[in-house]
Formats: sequence, C-alpha cells, structure tokens
Amino acid sequence: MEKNKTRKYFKYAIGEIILVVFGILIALQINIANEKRKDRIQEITILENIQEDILLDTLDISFNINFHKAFIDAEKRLLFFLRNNLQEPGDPIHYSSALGVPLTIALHKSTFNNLQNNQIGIITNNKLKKDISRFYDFFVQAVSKIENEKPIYETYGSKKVFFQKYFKLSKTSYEMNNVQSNNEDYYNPNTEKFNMEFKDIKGAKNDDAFKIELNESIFIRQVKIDFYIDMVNRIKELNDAINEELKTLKR
Amino acid sequence: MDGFNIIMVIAIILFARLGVRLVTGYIKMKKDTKEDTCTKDN
Repeated sequence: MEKNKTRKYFKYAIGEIILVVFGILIALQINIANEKRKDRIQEITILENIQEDILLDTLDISFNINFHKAFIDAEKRLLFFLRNNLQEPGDPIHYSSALGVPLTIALHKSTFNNLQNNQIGIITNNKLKKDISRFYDFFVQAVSKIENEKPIYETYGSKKVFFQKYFKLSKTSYEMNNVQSNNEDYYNPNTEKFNMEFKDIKGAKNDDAFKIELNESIFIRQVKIDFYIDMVNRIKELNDAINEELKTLKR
Repeated sequence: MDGFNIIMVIAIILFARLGVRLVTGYIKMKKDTKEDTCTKDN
C-alpha cells in the first residue's frame, strides 16, 4: 500500500517538474522572439539612419566635386595659355577659380560610430555589415584625409604666391553661388569675390615654377575628383544594398 | 543590465512553487500512510 502511494507521489512529482520545465521553456521562447523583434526594429532604425547619413554625404561630396571641376577647368585653361605663344587667352579664363579656395569635407559618421561602439552585431547581413565597415573605415577615412588633413594635397597656398606676383584684382566681382542652394540640409554659401586679371603676362609665361605648380594642382585635383566620383558610386551601391536589406527586414 | 531578467524571475517563482508543492505533497503522503497504518492496527 505504502509502495503504491510512494509510486503515485513520484509520478505526481515528475508531472509537476515537467510542467514547470515546459512553462519555463515557453516563457524563454516568448522572450527570445520578443528580443529578436526588438533587435529587428533597432536594425531597421540603424540602417535607415546610415542610409540618411550617406545620402546627406552625397550633398557635401557634390558640392566639392562642382567646385573642384570649376577650379580644374580654369587651371587647365590657364596652364594651356601659359604654355602657348598667344598674347591673350583664346577663351576667357576665370583666374579666381584657377587660384581656387581650400575645400573641406565633413561626412556624417555618428550612426556608424555609435554602431561600432555598441552593437555592430545587430546587423544580421554579414556582407552588408562588411560593406558598411569598409565604406566608413576606408573610403570615408581616405577622402577625409586627402581633403582635410594632408596639406600637401591642397595647392591653394603654393599657387597663391604666384597669383600675388602676376595678377591684380579687377574691378568686377563674381558670386560664389551654391549649385544646390534649394536644399535645407545644406550649407548654402553665397559669397562674393573680386575677379583677377593679369599684371605680368610675360613674367607668368616665363615662370616654370608657376606652370609646374599649376600642373601639380591639376593632377591632385583630378585625383580628388576621381575619388569623389568613386565614392558617390559606392554610396549608390551601398544605398541599394541597404534598401534591399530593409525590404527583407520589413517583410 | 545583466541582472535578473523576466525569465529568471518566472523560473525562480515556478521552482519555488514546485518545491512547496512537492514538500507539502510528500508530507501529506506520509500523513496518509501513517493514518492508514493506525486504522489497520485498530
């Protein structure tokens, strides 16, 4: 009789234990599903923020590309004129543009920095994670260094000496208008600068150092333009990849 | 925070409740057995 009761009790005890374990497992599953849902929402937010950042970066990059293109065009015309026998340039040259202005670039990195410091693992697509890391760790770094940190790539200072020597300010001025001034997220400079005209054409034509400096400037500017264009293409690719991932995540 | 999460709390409550039920069940079984033995002796 006692043996029968003990057996009954053990059956009851095992049943209770199994019920408790099942209860905990179900709660665990619900918790995991909830965590995944929250991670997915966070991943979507982060990807959307990165997308917004890189699209804003294209504005700054386009701004620099436009200025670099205007400057390189004037530099090429000036160098061509200095190297031939013409007394006056065939086409008008914008000498102020040939001197240029130092440009800087400020790219949006806050979302990536935040992601890197806290939760890089939240991005589930490994290829996209690598692409984003490479974009910020290499391309953004490189373009920032070339444009902002390496004075050797900025020829404005070295050209200015020659411009002070061979040019003078003319009476007319021109506006440095921004080509994307209708965009609110954008710095919209609207400044004026006096034009320049030749003071000593002969001296400039005989100065090889000036020509070499212009040639170097053209080369470096072309490198910068190519780098920027490459970066815009990469931003486009990254933007498409993020769009694809967002579609999958929102499904 | 890496402290107690909701699953930990549920597990502790369920296991504590399980312990109480098992102990009270065991005591009840012992008591019933004792009572049965007494009734048989009488």
